[in-house]
Amino acid sequence: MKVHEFEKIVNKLELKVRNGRDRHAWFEYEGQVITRTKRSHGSGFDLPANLIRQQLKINERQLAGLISCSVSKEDYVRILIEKKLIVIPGATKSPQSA
Amino acid sequence: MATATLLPESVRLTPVGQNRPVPSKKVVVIREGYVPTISASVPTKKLSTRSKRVRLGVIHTPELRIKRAIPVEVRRKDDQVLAIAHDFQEFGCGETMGDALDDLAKGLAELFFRLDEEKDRLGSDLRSLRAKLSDYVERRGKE
Repeated sequence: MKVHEFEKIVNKLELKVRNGRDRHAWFEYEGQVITRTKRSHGSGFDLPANLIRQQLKINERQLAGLISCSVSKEDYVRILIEKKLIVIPGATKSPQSA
Repeated sequence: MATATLLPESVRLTPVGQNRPVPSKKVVVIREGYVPTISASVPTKKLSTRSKRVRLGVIHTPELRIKRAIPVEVRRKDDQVLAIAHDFQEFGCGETMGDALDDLAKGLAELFFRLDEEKDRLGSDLRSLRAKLSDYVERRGKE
């Protein structure tokens, strides 16, 4: 993965970025930190796409979609909800119990 | 000075030099002035001195201490070395294995501090990552 592709994901998912030794990027949803990834600063190395994909909890197709235009931030949130990494309060409650 | 005895053409020897009769089709004939050489290709496994799996036991951060060595996979691709701690989905890269391990160690330290800082608002996955990382790394002075 190229640096500009990483940055495209950072911008699309509105990841919170902190620059230390590496460029750390964290995905937050409603105040909770859900996933994280990172890249080295200007090392000139190819970024390990597979490891970045694992950190973001997505498959190869979804990663390709994030880099292109077929997967949006809303789609990504949906993926994380399906994986139960994002828990929406009350979503599991039945309507009668409300 | 060493001398070699050359046998006449009529003497039949087995490949290991025994002088018992051998079937005529497998006769090794030694002509005068000719020393036979036997060449054979023996399949061998290519050995590499480069480790693919190592254990990281040092973290170059004064505030932290390694409790248990961290299993690391080392991958090489072209001029790049990648050190991967699969347990934490963390990686480091560099031109040499030492550089990559150093990068990984610093990355793990940053991850430890950041997870500690955000501990109250971590999602389930990062919470379990923090717990797992705490099994391997701890703050110094925490005895």
